[in-house]
Amino acid sequence: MPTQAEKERLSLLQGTLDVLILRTLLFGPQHGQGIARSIQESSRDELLVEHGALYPALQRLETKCWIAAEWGTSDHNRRARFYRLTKAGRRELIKETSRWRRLAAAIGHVLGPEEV
Amino acid sequence: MFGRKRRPDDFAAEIRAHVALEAARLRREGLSEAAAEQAAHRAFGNRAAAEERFYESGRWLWWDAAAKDLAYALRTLRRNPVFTAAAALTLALGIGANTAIFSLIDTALLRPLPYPHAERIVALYARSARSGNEALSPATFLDYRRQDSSFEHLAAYRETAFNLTGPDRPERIDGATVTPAFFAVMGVPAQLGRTLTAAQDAPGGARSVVLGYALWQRRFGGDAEMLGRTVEIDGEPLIVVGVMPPYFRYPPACEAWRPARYVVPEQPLRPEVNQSDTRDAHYFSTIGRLKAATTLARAQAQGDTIAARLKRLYGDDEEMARAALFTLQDDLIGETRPALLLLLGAVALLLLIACANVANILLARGASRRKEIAIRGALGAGRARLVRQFLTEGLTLGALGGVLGMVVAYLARTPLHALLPANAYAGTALQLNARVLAFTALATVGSTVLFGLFPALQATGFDLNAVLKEAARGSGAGVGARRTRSVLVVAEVALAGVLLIGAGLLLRSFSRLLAVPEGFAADHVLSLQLSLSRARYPDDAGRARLVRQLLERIDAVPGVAYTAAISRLPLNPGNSTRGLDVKGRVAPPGGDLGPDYLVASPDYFRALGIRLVQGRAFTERDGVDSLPVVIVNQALARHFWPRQDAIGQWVTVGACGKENEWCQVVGVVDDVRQHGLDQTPRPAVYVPYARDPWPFMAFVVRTRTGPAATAPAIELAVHSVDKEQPVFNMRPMQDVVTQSLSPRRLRMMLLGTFAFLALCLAAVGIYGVTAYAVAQRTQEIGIRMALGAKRGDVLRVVVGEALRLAVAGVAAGAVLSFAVTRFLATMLYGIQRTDAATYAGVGALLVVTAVLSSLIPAWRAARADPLASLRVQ
Repeated sequence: MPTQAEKERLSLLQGTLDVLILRTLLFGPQHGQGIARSIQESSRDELLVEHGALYPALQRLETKCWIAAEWGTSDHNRRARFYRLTKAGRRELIKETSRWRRLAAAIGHVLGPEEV
Repeated sequence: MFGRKRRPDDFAAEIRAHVALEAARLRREGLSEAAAEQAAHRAFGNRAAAEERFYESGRWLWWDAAAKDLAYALRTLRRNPVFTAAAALTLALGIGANTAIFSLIDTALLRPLPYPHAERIVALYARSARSGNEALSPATFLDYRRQDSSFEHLAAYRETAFNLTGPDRPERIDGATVTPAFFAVMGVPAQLGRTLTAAQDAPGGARSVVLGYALWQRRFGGDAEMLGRTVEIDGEPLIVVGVMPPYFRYPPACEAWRPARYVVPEQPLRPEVNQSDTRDAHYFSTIGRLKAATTLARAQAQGDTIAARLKRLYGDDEEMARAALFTLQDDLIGETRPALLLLLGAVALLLLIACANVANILLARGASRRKEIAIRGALGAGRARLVRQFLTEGLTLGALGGVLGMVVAYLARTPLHALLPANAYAGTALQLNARVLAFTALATVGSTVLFGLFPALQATGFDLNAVLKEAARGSGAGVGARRTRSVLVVAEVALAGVLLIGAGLLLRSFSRLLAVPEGFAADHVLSLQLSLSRARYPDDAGRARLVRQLLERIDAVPGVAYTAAISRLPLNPGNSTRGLDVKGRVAPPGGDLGPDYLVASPDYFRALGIRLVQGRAFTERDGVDSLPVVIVNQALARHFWPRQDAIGQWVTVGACGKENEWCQVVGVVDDVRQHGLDQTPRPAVYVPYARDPWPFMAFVVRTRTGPAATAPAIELAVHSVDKEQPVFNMRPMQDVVTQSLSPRRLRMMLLGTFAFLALCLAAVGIYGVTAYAVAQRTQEIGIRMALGAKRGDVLRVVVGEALRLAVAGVAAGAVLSFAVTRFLATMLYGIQRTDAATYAGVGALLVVTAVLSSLIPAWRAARADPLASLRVQ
């Protein structure tokens, strides 16, 4: 049984992860491991993505036709399944990004100026 | 769930690729081979879980799991044969009853009549405030035919009995005299030859006849050469021009159709008179085919307009101001519709009770399966997965019940057919067709969800840890489950209460009806009917002579006490009324009431045991030449002479011999329930047979030895007078009485059966809950008894609990019944729908049932050895 705290973190991650994936794919097709690494790096290692948790999110996005997938070959000549952003996915990303920005700003206002 | 094309192994390959990529990268970052591999796996997290989640969201799992669930369900059901049998039989009863009643409704209300665009065939009546829906008069019919543009065709027909004579024995068949448009309205062509047409069968032309298929087969061996031949009907030769297909059965039971002599069918008593201009006789039926462009509502509106115009023109003669249109199907099913819908409601309640019961059993099992569920949960089964497995078990059970239910419905279809109006549905079988099967499937799935979801959620809606801990402790468990079960039992009792009260009301109505004075004594009386051939007995004198001869011959049969002839037998369909004027009385505006008009031979009152209240009966001397006399019933005497003596009063009766002849009232007889035991007797006037010899007569014979023994001799006596005279409907008068009640009896017995089943199910429900509660509280009871509680105390506690449930159920049931019985109101006789005795009786019955069904477990609990029950764990 997950503890209460774990549950909360997971549910927070779920919505977030979708946007992060879409954002990552904006720069070109990428496979799962690449996406995980990319998120980790671009968040300056603040976000620790459990790689396994990525896949349900990828599946979800694929079902919604926001991303499309295809088997291909990686830089280091390994077979991998590459995901790319669809038109619908691009639209969704724009929508979601502005939503997140507004949300972050709103929360920022509520929390007030950073205490030093 | 569906639509995914990706296979699980593809997903597994992706994950493998992911881990390999990660490991390769870590190696490039400087980790050793083994460390990189390990770190990559660690970073991925639970790989099996990811694969499983993928699997679960795919349709693969769905089918896979369904098959596994089914196998598991079958195994579970097989392992608990008693439970399975009990649940499946309960469901079979519920679903079977529903299927059976629905198949009736399908036949009577849903399945279209087998005629082209049958929905456009309508029956047309005149509606008046005084007499309800009434047949059109000939002149009105012609007015409608001229003025009403809603109809493509409008036809009149009169159902009548034909005496079919010829080389073989004489036969009496049901036939109809129709205007030529009749077949155009029905829209059915002949199977052989032609139907009647306006061009070829206009009044005054050669007389033809169309035969029904069954008659053609039975009487003429299906001989195609019959076309163009002559058959003799009512002594008149008619040319056979066509044979109808077997499914054509309108008017119901009709086997031959002949054209009308005039533009309207002839009046049966005066066929030689063209009645086309008459507005005060109503003796034929009207049907029409609506134009495709119109609707029933628009046709109704136009009909009303015409009716209002006719009323303005003709006033009192045209008393109706509205038209009444019914589709042919509604016309055929008539008053049976509410009864069918009532029964459908009843079986729906029964199914609800059955569901509650099965849910109850499942809940009890669910409680005892808590450990199993907890273990499966601990092994990784999600809640949704557990619920689904429960539902699969439920569906399997439901399917079993559904199939058995079909068997029940199949067995019930013959007896149930009797619920439909006999004539109209004689040839139609109740089918278990696609629509009925769909209904059964729906009922099955619906009830599965009802009884299955409940316990599934209940059983899986708890915290796994708590259960495992609790199970280890073994203390009284599942307060929630118990409460749910109690609520279910209360609902069962309440619903059973509704059915019992409904059945009780019908039963009490029926017994009231049996106690109603019929006005005659049916025992020892034989009745039979004759229709006298008009060709051979064309005039009144001849018919009067024939009847006198018949009466004499029958009287001479050994064992016969009295014999009499009567124009209309009590409790048989059909009615004749005549206008009646009283000397010295001014008719109220809108006309006087038209009393029932009956033509009787002298011994009629004695033969049928009708009490002569005052004055005298008819004698042989009351003939054409003597002083015209009539006898009236008490209802008529009360109506016209509430404070005077009826004897000696003078009246004219519409067709009492000569028109407007003054007749003297010489006798008053008891009121006879002429139109049904549940119908208040109407005023009636009796006229001596010799003055108005009808062409169709019923004979009543009071026997000393019993009607059955005398019947053959009586038939011989009739044939000794005229061997071409068919005798029909020969049966004891008691049968006539019984038969007149049979639709009511059938309804009552069906509702009674359903109510009884409901009671049994409720009893089982109470038993189950009590037994379960006792089993759960074995330890507690043991401790109480060890502490000095007496057996009586234990009994009282256990039975008391059942009693509480029953009382709550009875209260809810009474409230519910109060609301629901208004659908029953029209079927009651002599009691109110709030009849206190019925409510009290049903309440007592339910309470007693509850006590009885809780006694066994209570007794078992009280007898238990306290030490043994403490040692159980």
